[in-house]
Amino acid sequence: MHRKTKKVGTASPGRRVLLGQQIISGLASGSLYALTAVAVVVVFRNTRTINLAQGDFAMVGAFLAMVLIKDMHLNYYLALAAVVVACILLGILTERIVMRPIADSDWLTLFTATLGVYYILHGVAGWVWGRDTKAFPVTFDPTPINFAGTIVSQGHLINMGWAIAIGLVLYVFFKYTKQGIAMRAVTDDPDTAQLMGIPVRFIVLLTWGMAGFLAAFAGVLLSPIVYVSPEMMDQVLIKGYVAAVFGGLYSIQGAIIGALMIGVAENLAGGYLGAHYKTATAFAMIVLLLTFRPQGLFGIQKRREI
Amino acid sequence: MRRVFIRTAGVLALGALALSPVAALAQDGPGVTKNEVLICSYQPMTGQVSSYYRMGKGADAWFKHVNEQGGVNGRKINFNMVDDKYEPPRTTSIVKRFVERDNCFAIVAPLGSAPTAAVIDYVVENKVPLIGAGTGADKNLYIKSPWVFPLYPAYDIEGIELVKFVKEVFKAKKIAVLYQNDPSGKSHIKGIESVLKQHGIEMTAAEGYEPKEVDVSAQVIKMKNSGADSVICSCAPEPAAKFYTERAKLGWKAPVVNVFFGKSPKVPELAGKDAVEGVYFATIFREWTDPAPQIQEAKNILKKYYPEEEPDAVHLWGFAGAQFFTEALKRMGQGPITREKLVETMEGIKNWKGSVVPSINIEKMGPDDMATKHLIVSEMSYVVYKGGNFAPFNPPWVK
Repeated sequence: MHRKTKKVGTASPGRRVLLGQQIISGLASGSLYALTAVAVVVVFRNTRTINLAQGDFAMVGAFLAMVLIKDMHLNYYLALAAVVVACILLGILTERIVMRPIADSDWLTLFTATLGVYYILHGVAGWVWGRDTKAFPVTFDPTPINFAGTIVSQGHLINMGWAIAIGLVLYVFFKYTKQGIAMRAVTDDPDTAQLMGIPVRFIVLLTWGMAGFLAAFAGVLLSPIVYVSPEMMDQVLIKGYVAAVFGGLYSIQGAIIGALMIGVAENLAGGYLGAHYKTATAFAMIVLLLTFRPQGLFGIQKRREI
Repeated sequence: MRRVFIRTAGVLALGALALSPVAALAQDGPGVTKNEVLICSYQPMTGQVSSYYRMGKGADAWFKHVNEQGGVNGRKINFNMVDDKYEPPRTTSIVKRFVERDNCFAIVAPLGSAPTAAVIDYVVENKVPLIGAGTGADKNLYIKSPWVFPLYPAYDIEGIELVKFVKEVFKAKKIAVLYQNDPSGKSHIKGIESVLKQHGIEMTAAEGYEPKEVDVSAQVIKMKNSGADSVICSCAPEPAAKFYTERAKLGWKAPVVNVFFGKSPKVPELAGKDAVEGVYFATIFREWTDPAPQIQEAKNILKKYYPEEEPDAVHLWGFAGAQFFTEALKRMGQGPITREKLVETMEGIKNWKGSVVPSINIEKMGPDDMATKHLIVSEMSYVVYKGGNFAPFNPPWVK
């Protein structure tokens, strides 16, 4: 079918616009995948857990935001703040109720427990709010801004802006705060960290809280794009996970770069190879990468024997 | 001598039969008595897609109304609905029962592509009329059998109609198409491609999407960049909303017509009213808000017999088949009421405006024709989304 379609506007200016447009749009999607990818990394490196419920923390956040804004007429930023608090609590509760009692189990048990949380949150959300797709009450001004033929929408800019701001917050947190440094110490060597007097249990709790924090933004920022439903985050979680693996599962920078690359690569594949290749791109990339560089792009991955 | 005796006895017996009241009835088809016509329907009354049971409820409301008015030519219509849960194996056994045990005269307004595809060969083999089944699957429409009267066009026919629409209404020269990457989207593309040359239109982009995709930005950017001046969106409601959002983000103003299964209040709800403003949607039925008396009558009837139902397009699917059948029965008068006569009568229904369908026009099928000659709804109608509502829109070829 694609062979039959004729490309018009293949002259170089058209091509350049197409390329620029696909890259910008890919970066916008990628920066949202990054929020999930970073959360996957943060939890994994401190608890050896691949958190399948990460997307559902965001989904619950999105539903809460929808209720707060639509039904309780709360201001967008107030609602966002409330959702951040709620999601942090959700992360902490998950740690205390589900993960802590089995913290010493092998990775498969931990992984399966998060799968359980995933299904529980799916079920609860569907039961409380219904299974059909709902609109998010805030949409961004769609008036496009034109940069030399490449169109950037306000939504794109706002999403990228938030993602950058959150990246900076994380950078400052890990580099300069006591808790951040302690978290890194636990990542590097939990036993030694414990011996040094770092409260590892509290740090793990903090880790899950951070997962909730990131989920709140992912949920609220993605809602205008994927709409609000119990399944809204499923695809994003997979992309975020792939991005985390791409970056080596231990590196936050790696996860961010991985997420941006996946966003852009998907759009380029969709734009130049054909839409059928779009979804497969992230997976093709990860297979290639793991073949040639099993430790990931930013491989500080330690061969931890479990 | 013996042979003569047998012959005489035979002739006498036949004569007696012809004179007896039983014989008069014997001329009527199965399921028809002096007071009643038994017709049957399989419906997903429970299960995953039970929302489509609205089709059965629509038909049932109509038949109840007809019976309350005294039936048709003195006969009440006994509308027997059975739950198949949209599970084809169940449909198969239910339809066997309809034909072999219950002696249903016809199957009217049943629901579903997969259930119908499972039974359609058996139904036509047994020469049972299948009227107004709710399905757009190729197998149920492209069948060489005079017994089938499909409800609405196959998706490739819709594709053909939409090309005509963009040509006449948008004056399109170059079109871009967004389609769902499954049999429905591919049928649309097949139809669209088949008439491009005839209309002198070029398809500059045909982009597929997966229903679960996070966004369709890559596709929309490519479509916009292809230089298309008009768009056909073969999209279900949620992906359609994503398309309109993305189109607004890019500030792309090319006019769009969307296929009928994407026409849903969900689209403006999800994408925002502004993003959908001015978009045309194909539709196979009129809106419930349409002032046409046929629609308002249907609304009252539905409300009377199913007061808890919120009127939905799917109710109208049921009304269409049921009203069409009733009209044919009416035209057959005192009979004999046979299946052959029913088909013949239905083929004679031309330009009939008495139902929820603006106009029903059945063609006579030749030996090589497909059941698509028998479409109850052959013309697409159109609406345009304006100021928060779907407003009726008449393309130039409709007077």
